[in-house]
Amino acid sequence: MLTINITRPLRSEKGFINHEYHLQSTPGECLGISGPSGAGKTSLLKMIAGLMLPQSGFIQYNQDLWFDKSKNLNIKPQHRSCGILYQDPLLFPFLTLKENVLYGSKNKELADKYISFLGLEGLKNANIDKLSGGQLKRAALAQLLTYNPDILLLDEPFAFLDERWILKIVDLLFQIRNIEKKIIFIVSHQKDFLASITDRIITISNGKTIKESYINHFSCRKAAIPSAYFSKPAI
Amino acid sequence: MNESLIQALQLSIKLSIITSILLLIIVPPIAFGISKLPSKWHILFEFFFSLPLIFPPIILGFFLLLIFSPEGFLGQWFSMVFSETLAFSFWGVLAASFIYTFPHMYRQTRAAFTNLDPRLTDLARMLGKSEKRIFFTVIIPQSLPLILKSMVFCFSHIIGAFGVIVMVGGSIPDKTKVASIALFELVETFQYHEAFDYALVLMGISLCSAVIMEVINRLFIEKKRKTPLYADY
Repeated sequence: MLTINITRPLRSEKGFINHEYHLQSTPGECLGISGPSGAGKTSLLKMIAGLMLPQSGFIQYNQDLWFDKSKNLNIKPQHRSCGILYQDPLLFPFLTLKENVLYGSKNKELADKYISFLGLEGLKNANIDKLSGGQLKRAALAQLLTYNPDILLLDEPFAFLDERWILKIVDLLFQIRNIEKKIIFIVSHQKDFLASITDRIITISNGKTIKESYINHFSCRKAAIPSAYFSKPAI
Repeated sequence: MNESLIQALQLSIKLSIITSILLLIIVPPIAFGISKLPSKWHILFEFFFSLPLIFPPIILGFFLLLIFSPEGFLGQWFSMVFSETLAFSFWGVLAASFIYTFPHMYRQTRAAFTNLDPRLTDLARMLGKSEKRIFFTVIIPQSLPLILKSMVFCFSHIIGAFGVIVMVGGSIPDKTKVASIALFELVETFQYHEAFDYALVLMGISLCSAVIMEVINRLFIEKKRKTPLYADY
């Protein structure tokens, strides 16, 4: 179980606002984080991954304490089993696509599986600057999934992707969630879309959790995914 | 071109190559270490490391001669360990050219480290890599073009260095008489024709260095800047 109980002041249009994050997630849960731009969604992911320091509180995953201000404890990102997929795909420009995918793990079998599944087989040896936005996004996802962390932190994971890839990746994420029992965070400002693919949505605004909605299992909603994604944002 | 001129040219090239390699090995870890310190320390190191650049070469050479002489602290230590004098030796000239070019190499290398994309190091951290591994697999590949470019600049700079080398090494054939000193001696003895030919050769080496720097710049540095790979997150 992942328990997050942290605060951090973040810059907003009205100056610095103290953001409070209090949430729990169990293995095999797909959690949606929604909220307007600048609500602190990406910052939350960064704090979970250890790339941003909370001001107070604690983060605990199973028996391991990752961050505790009162004990002055902060486990390095290298030793937290979580990975972020950024909204704007980020890869190493001096490596080929396959080298990028294998950067975090030497599991070639897994890398080949994801490269093939995500339709990147013909681009294995391509330089990163030759890829389109969608290809970069899929390559970054392949890199993250090959690294195989316990917690997947996905920031707008379907940006740059067309309907076919959105459906394929949603399927893949559900498999990962159900079979491997990973915790998946999906950040999006499109609430309708989140409602079609997550178990629970947490809405953040002005640094506070304003709403927590529980949703039925997604599979019955699969048909609604593309229209939900391509419709106008709810907020 | 007579044998002594070729000898001086060979010595210059040897000196430039060894100094450049030493700069490439020693400067990046120092610059990286300093770039990780709090910014108030940067000013102190920046000032200290800029001294060889601020002093006129002849004055820098004079102070180095005092330090390298058998009475100077470095010269004394060198004689004790290697039973050889540091001043007026190849090693003395090598040390002087290293100190002379260090500020340039340091500034460029530190700029390369400061301008690194922090998101890539974060990505490597998140993918479980140790800080040491991140240095060699992310930081060095990202900053290598700028470091190599500044190394080539230092190479070309040492080929033409005069004041600091003549002060520390004098003009001992096959030991400290480098190309710039040989050229000066040709002019001093009114051998303008030979001096002109010799200057052309030195100029050719400098032009080759400039071409290499431009190639590095075009292929790696400018191209990297143009690649629209990342947006802010």
